[in-house]
Amino acid sequence: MAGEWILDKNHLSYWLRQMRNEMELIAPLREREDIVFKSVEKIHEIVLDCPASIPSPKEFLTPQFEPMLKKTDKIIDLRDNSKRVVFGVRSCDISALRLLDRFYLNGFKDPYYEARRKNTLFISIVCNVPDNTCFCIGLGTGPFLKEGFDIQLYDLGDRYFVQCGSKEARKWCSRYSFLMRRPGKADFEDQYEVELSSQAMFRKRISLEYAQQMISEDKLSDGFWQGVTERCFECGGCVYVCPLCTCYTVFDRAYDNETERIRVWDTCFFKGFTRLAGNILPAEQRILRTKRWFYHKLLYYPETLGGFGCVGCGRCTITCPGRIDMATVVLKMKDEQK
Amino acid sequence: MDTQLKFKDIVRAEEHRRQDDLGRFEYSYKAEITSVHPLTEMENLYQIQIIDPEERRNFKFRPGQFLMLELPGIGEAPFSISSSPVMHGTVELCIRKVGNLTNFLAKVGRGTRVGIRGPFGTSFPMEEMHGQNILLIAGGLGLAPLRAPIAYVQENRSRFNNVDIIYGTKDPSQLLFTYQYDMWRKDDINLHIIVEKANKSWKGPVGMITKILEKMFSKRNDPFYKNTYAIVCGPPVMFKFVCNTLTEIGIPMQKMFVSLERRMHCGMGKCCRCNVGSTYTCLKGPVFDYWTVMNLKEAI
Repeated sequence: MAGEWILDKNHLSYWLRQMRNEMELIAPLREREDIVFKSVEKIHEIVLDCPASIPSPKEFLTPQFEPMLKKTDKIIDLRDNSKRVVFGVRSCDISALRLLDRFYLNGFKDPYYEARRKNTLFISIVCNVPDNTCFCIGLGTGPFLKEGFDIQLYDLGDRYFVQCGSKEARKWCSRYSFLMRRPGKADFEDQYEVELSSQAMFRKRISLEYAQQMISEDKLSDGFWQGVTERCFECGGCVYVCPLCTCYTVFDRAYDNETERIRVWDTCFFKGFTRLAGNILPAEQRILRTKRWFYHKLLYYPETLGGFGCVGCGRCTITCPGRIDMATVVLKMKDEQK
Repeated sequence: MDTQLKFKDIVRAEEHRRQDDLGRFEYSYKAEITSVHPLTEMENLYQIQIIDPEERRNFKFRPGQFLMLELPGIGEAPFSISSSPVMHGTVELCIRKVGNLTNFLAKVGRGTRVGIRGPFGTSFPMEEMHGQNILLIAGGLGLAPLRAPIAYVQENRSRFNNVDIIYGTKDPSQLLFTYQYDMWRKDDINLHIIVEKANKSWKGPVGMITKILEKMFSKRNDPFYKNTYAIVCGPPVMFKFVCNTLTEIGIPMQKMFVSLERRMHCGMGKCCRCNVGSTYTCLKGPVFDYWTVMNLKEAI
């Protein structure tokens, strides 16, 4: 492939600086114990070892709070066209973006998503050491990607193996080719070794196909779902951290002489999510709402978008206070047959 | 065996979900409320006209579709269109005062500027029903979406055989569009009205809609039902009972059409509120044939 380069680690800082001159640079930073994606001021503060961030990078494409338009005498479009580069994303999140693209850009094209997606460059890093909560290996969404990325970096110790997947990415590599060199045989060997070693380090092996089969064949008893539901606090945490949850709500806010239309994240675990006029609640029982989330991810996503609504990032495992995250529930299904 | 499913019928049932039924998702027409007509204590009939004459001419919808009504600063809500598709620059919406937007709407009068998006969703396949008998069944506020196909039938009365409207409400004070009943009867449409709870002045039958259906069906001979289409609108509880009765009589499932009600927020299959299984009601619905509905889990 033409888009393969070797970048010395000493030159990374310069490369990112050059990118920052043209775009907003967003990268994982450490805030006390947490890792969050933020706009970078000091490049040396970036956490480089591909850490698990708790909010997923979907917030740069569909922010939690997004003003859409303003109405005064005329309508002002508040579409965000600013250029961004997001550095240090994990492969699972890139896989999630590919499904989000299919969701938002098939049929009706969401103009707000489209504008942000077009102007955002993602640089992903292959996970050399996956976390204990990760299970992307069983889903084919990580720890490295074969396609669909913009720029993918392999950490080979003293240097990065750079792969370019898009036109924009090739532009950034060829323009700064004086920082890089073409990979030799040893580099390919090392890259392959990283792929193998990171694959071997996964603790969790989860097969969602099995769970899908259990659900579609209706092999799970109501007691199983009741048990899951009883542990649910309806906090919505799993939905907010999930890179593939897309539910939103739109509301108007009126000021003195203008109104603003705002889009915010919403959660299907909330009772009022599907409320009809006249306070009719189609999903009044909690069990229906819990089932809905799992069914949506395991059944409806493959039906409509051709991929599971889970990329194995393990964020819900960390977040869920009731321990009914995707991985745990799917593992539990093995013991629970009707 | 005519009552069994034929492949041809299934294909035809699929056909009515044409893509060109879908409106322009994002465009908001500037419109104006031209009249407000109180129907009962709770429901008003709003007539809304698109301001721009060019847009008014091009705005087309089909019976059964819905649109998004927007009040600036308050929000948006979906309403099914309850007027004839012929007057396409003007729509009539029958709206009950139940929520945030509808309560506000009840306070405002003529001349209020609103925005409308749409029309969205699938429609009743009226052309397919030509030359056939039609049963139009509505419960409660279900008469609002049903008024569009009724208007279509009125305008093309000669193309349909036997037309029956069966309409049931909780009590006589909730009857909608009372001023139109005589017009419907004049157009050779059999109108049956039933209430659950009668008051002193009520002289008609008392009970559920299924009571009228059973009474009607005992009279007629069998071939009648094979050439009958049914359109059912109403609360979800009603669907099950009415459609079961109709199936027992022998009306094929793919000739029964229901309008499913779900919360629709965006109208373009993105906000994930209205899905029944993997089907988005705002894109593939709200009009479904009963055969599809039976195959959707937890639809009714």
